[in-house]
Amino acid sequence: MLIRILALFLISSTAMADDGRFTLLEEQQPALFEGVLFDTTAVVDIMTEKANWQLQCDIEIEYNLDLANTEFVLERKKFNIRYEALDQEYKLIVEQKDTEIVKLQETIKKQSPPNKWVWFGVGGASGVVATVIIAKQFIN
Amino acid sequence: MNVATILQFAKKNWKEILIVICLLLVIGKMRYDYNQLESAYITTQESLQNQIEGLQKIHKRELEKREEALREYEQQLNDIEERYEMNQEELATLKAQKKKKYVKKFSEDPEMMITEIEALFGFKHVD
Repeated sequence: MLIRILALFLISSTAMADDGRFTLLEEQQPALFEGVLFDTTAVVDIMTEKANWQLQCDIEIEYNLDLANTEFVLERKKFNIRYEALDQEYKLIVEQKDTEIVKLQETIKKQSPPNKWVWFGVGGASGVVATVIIAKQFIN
Repeated sequence: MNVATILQFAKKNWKEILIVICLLLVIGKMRYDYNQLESAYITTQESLQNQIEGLQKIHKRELEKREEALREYEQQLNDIEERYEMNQEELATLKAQKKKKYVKKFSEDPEMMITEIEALFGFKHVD
């Protein structure tokens, strides 16, 4: 079919270039000029192909565009799905980290109370008193 | 055993009592610190566990969505192929009809055929 179409274009372009001629012949009738003789079926085939090539092209273009569009839609969907998943993962990790930080802060606050200087003073004083008492005991 | 006896005992053994109290305080503080550390560890562990569970759920949902998208894609491909084949069949039918029409015209009305060839290809008819 493709060869036929190519031949048709070749013939028609060559014919167009030097104003192609044609004639209708009966059997055994001499030809008016040198050329290629097609029978009715061949001419009808060529005419049909010529008349329908635009439609054929439209069908092929529509088919290929649909394929490309479907591929594109799939790729876009995949990217969106990946993006949504990454976004959810990010939010989940941040949320969990925030919760963890709050809990750890609570633990740290319990560990080092705000009146730590008071505790430091009390500890120091206790140490001094204990040292003095022990020293006195050793002296005695 | 009355209060006076207890006081006398305490006065007599105050050093040992002080040592025991100090030891108890140190042990208590150690237990408290250990509990705090354990609490921090549990908090981190819970957080990581929640993260793992959440990530697994998200991953599962992502896979489901991808499969759904692929199913839709395959369905659309099938539709496109069907439409393409249908168009090709219609075109083949159209060509067959046109061929019939041309053959009929060619046999019934050669003049009309000449006009068609001239219009279609731009060739010049020679008698």
